[in-house]
Amino acid sequence: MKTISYIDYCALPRIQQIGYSIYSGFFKIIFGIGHFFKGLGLGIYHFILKIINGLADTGRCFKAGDVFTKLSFLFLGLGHFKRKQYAKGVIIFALEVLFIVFMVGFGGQALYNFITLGESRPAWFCKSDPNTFYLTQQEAINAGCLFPTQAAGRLDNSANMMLYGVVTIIVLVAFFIFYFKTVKGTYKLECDSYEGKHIKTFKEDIGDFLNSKFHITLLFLPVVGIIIFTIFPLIDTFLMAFTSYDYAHNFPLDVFEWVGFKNFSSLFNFGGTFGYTFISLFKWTIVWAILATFLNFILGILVATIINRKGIKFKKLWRTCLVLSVAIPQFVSLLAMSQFLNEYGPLTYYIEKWTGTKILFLSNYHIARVMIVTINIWIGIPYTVLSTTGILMNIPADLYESARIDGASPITMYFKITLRYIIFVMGPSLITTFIGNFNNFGVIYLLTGGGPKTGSYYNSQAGYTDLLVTWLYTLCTGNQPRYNLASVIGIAIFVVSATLSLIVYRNSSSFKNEEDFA
Amino acid sequence: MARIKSMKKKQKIENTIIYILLVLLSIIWIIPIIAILYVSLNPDSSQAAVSIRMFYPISKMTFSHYVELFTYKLSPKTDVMPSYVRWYLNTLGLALCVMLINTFFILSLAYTMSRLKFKGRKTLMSINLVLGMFPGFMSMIAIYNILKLFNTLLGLGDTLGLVHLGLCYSMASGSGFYIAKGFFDTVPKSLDEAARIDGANNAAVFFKIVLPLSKPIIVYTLVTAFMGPWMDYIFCSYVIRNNTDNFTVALGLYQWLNTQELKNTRYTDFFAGSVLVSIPIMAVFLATQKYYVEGVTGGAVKG
Repeated sequence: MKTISYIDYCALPRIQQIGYSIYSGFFKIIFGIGHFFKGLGLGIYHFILKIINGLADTGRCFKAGDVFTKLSFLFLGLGHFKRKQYAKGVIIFALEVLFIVFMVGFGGQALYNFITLGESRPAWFCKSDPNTFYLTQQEAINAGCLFPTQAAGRLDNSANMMLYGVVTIIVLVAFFIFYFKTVKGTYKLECDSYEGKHIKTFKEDIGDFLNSKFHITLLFLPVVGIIIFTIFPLIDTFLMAFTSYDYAHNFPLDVFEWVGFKNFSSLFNFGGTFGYTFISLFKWTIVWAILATFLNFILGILVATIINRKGIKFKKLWRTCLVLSVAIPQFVSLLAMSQFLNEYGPLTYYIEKWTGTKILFLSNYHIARVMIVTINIWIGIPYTVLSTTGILMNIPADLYESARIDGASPITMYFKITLRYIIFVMGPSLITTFIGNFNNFGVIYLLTGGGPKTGSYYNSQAGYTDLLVTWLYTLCTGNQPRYNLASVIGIAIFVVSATLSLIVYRNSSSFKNEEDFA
Repeated sequence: MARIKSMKKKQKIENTIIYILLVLLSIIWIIPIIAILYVSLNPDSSQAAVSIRMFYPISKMTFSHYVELFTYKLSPKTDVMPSYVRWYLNTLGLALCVMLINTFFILSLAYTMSRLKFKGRKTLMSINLVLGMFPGFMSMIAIYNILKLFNTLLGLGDTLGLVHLGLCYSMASGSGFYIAKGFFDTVPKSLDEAARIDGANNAAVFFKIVLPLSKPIIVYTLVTAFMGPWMDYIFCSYVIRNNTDNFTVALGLYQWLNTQELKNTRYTDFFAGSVLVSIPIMAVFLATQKYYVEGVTGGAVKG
């Protein structure tokens, strides 16, 4: 890409400046994505290198170590025992035994089940004929059995098998890390004792957790929480995107299986209803996110500037009036609004009574979209006022002074000084807001529930005001949940948010400063 | 002289316009709140009646729906206390527990990431950043399956309740440590060093030096964590489902509006219930507003 200096840029005519901005912005995005993949590739390369180096290191330890260290490769903790770290040795050995018991008694089978995801075995039978099994309840009913009974334990629960499989994989990875760390530690211990260094007692080891290893103490519980309640479910959900897990393929009705990239191909098949719904909702989500973010931002700053104007009294009163709406829970204010505005609500009724025309605020799709954006402005402006007031007060007054002397109008000053200054300070958080709006579940779900629904969307489950997230929610909880497709949508949302964040990160000052140093 | 006078006059006109604008804005922002209050005192109790008689005369205002909140039982035979009271207490208890655990988790993660230098710190931060880009409730199904599995393994049956909901709210809360980290970054490091020279270990520095200096961020974290369960609807509805004894206020009120049968009898109760929920939350928010703004802008400016 050809870059031009700032002076050349200023000398260009206005049209060409815009053109250049678009052109360079486009390249920035391309470079951003390119850089991301380069970084990803490098990261993977370094990771593999690290593992190989670690293995080689361990090999060297094995070669150089004495009998006890060598035996420790089989019986973990033996080395520690030999160097009189009895308690530590016993704990480490117990962990190894636990791991082996876990793998033999549970893990092996779990891994096998993870690959097959269970078999669809006959699971329903008639009390009158307990030897004939049917795959599904419906089949049994069709075969003339009015009240089929489920055979206990005959049908596999694929969802649980997947969970067990993921748990086993996490345990395996954790144990391998633990194994190599311990083995290396054993060798280091041998070296230390050979050199006559002080070997820590168990008490000192424990004491370390309040000092040099204090980070482990503090991190332990929160990180375990994140692993169990974020990482583990995310891996599981991610895997669901590659299966046929939906309302029909769910325990106790049926098992589900791996289907590869089938769900993703139906996402990108824009001719099919699923792909069509995705692309339509995606467009609306983008439009919504842009409108919601920038309208709130610009109007919010405008209101904040007005309140903070010199010579205006009762500043606190005005601000409190706005902030009150932030203080009430959203589900109260939004649900109430949806009640006031909906088809049967008072507003429609009175307008019809007085003017004779019936306005459907939330059931006509054009009006509904406008209403949603408007109500979001009502919600959003107070937030912007709250967070920008401090920044506004920090704008140097002489900037306005000199602008006024130069004859700038208030509107020019607002755009050229106020807005620019705030964007300079709040730029990065603006993108967070954008992503937040992209995933703004509350406003849409509580106001319209995604409606008005339309038959042209997938399963008639989505509507004109649905965002991708609210659709994801409907896919999980609606009449006929399709967990696999919901997971695909989740991944798509992730890709969009990640790409956006990446572009911003590349353009943010911290990243540029790094480049300046290079 | 004349010019100054005309400028003053111009300013006066401008200010008048701005005052009118501000009054208008305030009315726009206050009206829905007043409307909620006004409807909650409406003598009617079904949606249709309230819509037709929205502007009822002030003399007919009644507190009967507030009284009803404290008497109405969803299933009169089995319920020990009125449904609304029960949901309220559920949410209060949940919010208090979640508040304590979340604050502990968030502060310890934030402090570690801000002050303690150790191997893998940056990796952990970037992993957390990536995790944050998945939509929050994408893994809801998996979490539900996991909780159910726990329950069956422990022999506790099939229904999930408030304890599970509390786990959902609190266990992974550590990942929202950024704002608190931004705060800890601004506490002068020389204080730690001085304490360390005096022989304090890392734990003592955290508990005795940094925490006492971090009142704003502690208050901010406590308040946001406390408000979470009052506001959340998504996880709550998915985890609790039809287990009405374990409803939170948000879920219960939502149900009053979205079941056809209850819409005809509990419509005004919804507004009365909403007012009673909003009052304490508003009070907490307005009392701690200063800290809230500090927390938000502190995080925003840092980016």
